[in-house]
Amino acid sequence: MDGISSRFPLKWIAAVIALLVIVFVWMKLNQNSKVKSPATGLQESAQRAPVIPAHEGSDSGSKGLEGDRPENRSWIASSERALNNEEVSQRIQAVLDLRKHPGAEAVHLLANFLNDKAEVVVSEAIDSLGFIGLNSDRGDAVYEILEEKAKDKGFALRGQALITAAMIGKDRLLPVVSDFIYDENDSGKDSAVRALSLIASPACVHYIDVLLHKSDDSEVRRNSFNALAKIDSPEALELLQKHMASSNDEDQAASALALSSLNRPEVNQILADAIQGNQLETGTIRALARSPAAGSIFGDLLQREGVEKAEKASLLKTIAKHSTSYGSMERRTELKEAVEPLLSSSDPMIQKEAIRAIAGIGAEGTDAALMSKLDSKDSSIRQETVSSLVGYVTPTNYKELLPVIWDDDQETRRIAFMCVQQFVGESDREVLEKARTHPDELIRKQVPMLLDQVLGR
Amino acid sequence: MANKIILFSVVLAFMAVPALAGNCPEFDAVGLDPSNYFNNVTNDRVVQNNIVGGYRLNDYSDWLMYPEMVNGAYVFEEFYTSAGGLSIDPCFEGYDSAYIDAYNSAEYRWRIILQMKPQSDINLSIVDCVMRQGESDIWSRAGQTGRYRADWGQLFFVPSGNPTVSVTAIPGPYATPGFDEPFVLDARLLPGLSLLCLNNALYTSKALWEEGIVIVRPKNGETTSCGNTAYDLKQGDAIEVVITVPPTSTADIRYGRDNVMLRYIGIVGTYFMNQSTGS
Repeated sequence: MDGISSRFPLKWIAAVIALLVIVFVWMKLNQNSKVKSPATGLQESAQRAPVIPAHEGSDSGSKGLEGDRPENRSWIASSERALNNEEVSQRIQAVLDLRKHPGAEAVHLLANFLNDKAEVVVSEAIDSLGFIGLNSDRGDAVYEILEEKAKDKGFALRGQALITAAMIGKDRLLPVVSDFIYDENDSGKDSAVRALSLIASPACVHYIDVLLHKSDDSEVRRNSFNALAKIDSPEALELLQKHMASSNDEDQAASALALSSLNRPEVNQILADAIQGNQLETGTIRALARSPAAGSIFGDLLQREGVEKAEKASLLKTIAKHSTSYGSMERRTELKEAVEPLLSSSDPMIQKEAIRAIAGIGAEGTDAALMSKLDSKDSSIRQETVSSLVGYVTPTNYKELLPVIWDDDQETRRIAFMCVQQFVGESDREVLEKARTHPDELIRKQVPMLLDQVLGR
Repeated sequence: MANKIILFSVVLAFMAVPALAGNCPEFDAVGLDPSNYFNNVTNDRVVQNNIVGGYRLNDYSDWLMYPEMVNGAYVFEEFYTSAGGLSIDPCFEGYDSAYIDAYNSAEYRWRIILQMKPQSDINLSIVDCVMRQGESDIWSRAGQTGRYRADWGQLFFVPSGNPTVSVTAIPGPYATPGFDEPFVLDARLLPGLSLLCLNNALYTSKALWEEGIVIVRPKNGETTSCGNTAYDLKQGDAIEVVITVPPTSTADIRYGRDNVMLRYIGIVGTYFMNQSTGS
């Protein structure tokens, strides 16, 4: 060592290394500074752009599975060259391009890319293998490669390999999934449940049951319940019902929601029974009010004679507050139709809660449903109706409220007046002229201003 | 001294090796991203620094003017509205938008191509031009959707007077295997981080400001809050954002092509670039 040091002093070695580093950095900087000049022509830029996906010019809609022509197999050499390309993006593009050649060669090349030093390239290779496996007759070959990678504990993306293999191999993969379930860490269980969700066969129920025993992670558990609903076998539904009876609030809500996603009459009845039997926590009932099955579950409960008045009022309050944050118009309409019969309830309290719930749901036809209560003989119901109509009065329906400005109840007539005053026009002059002598001082004083400002008199 | 130089050189050499799979900020919008009207300093920095082999990634992002076939899939961006034609926007000088007045319904739709594979949740940014009914001066008549003002000044907030937003993921030419049908994405509510299905979800917007909705990055095999099976999003996939203004809307609203943007962290190396564009 001393001899070497004497012949090649350390300072010279350092100088050489420093020089190499400077040259390397200079080359990288030079490469990155090649930002294209704005003056560069479109055609030129298209030719020079490095990672741009190749134009297929194909309108076959076959997602690139046009097959290979023996005379044109230069893509194999191109892909082999890309394996050693320094640029990650070039290697990724090569992997993506292999989707166009769903044959044995492409599968073999993609298997080589699974050994790439960059995880992102490996991830793309798994995806491209999955694509070929699902869209060609190479499914078995692809499955075997991915299964092997999923078993390999030294393979960084074995979770992704497992999930992709699950789409192709289905039940064949279950023994490997089992290994993931028994993994010490939660990421293994997370991969396992997502694979089971994609397999979604009755044979998965046992594995999900084991997984639920072994994992406390709320996301894993929620995905487990959703997978059971997807499987939709008698055993899966039984397991879901078992967890719906759990004292764990999160489990209860997640399993109930998973059941509600099926939105089938017999399942909805089970959920309605659970609500009526006070088996579900408030949070779970609120979550169900947002579910696709809300119309059916709550409609059933609200019609049941065995459900007490206070219980119905509580359900209507839940609908009014918690059903509305999202949902298609179809779901809102179903829910509104479920509540609408209670507008005719003999109990004024239930009527008022139904009015509030319908206003909260916000389905099409809300205005018409609510306006049907404007002629109620009960002044408190008329007041509730007018209050709920704020936000549903438009230029096309405000005239329905004009008679209400003469209501006996002060608050009712003033809210009605507030709602209509921004829409009144020339056609309402007669009504407004009459209101100049309105017994309510507020309205009497507002009308002349309205006539002056709005009608230009 | 020599040892220190060697050590420094070795460290420098390692620092100079390019990151193999890093992450970087990226944004996407309808049309050519660098020319989006609402680009700010942050967006400009993304444009300047997202370089692919010497080219600016976002210069190759115009699938509105230049739709193309890639790997057998038709890739395009779109801005559509039933609100009518574009006109001068009173909130943003030199910008055109489509106007829907209070108590009328309309749909606005943006379809945006992801140029990178997202590594993070995606911020859906919506810039709003909202004014009180029948007004045109943003500096004296700015408004909020769902606000209802009585003549005597009292303000009400009416949920049913607000627009709804839906966000759907659409498979692109290099979609994750199994991702063959569009699925509705989830939002992550702030604060609280609870999940909400972005299917006709109520939202409110204000005058000149920007709303930020956090879209959850979907994971293969998960079930979303909407009950769909989710798949990883990839470069080339499209995100469709639909804003529906209900007939009970209490404000005048305007949106144009550039009002919606997707902001996220992308995985370096996973680029999707349009062949025909480039400024």
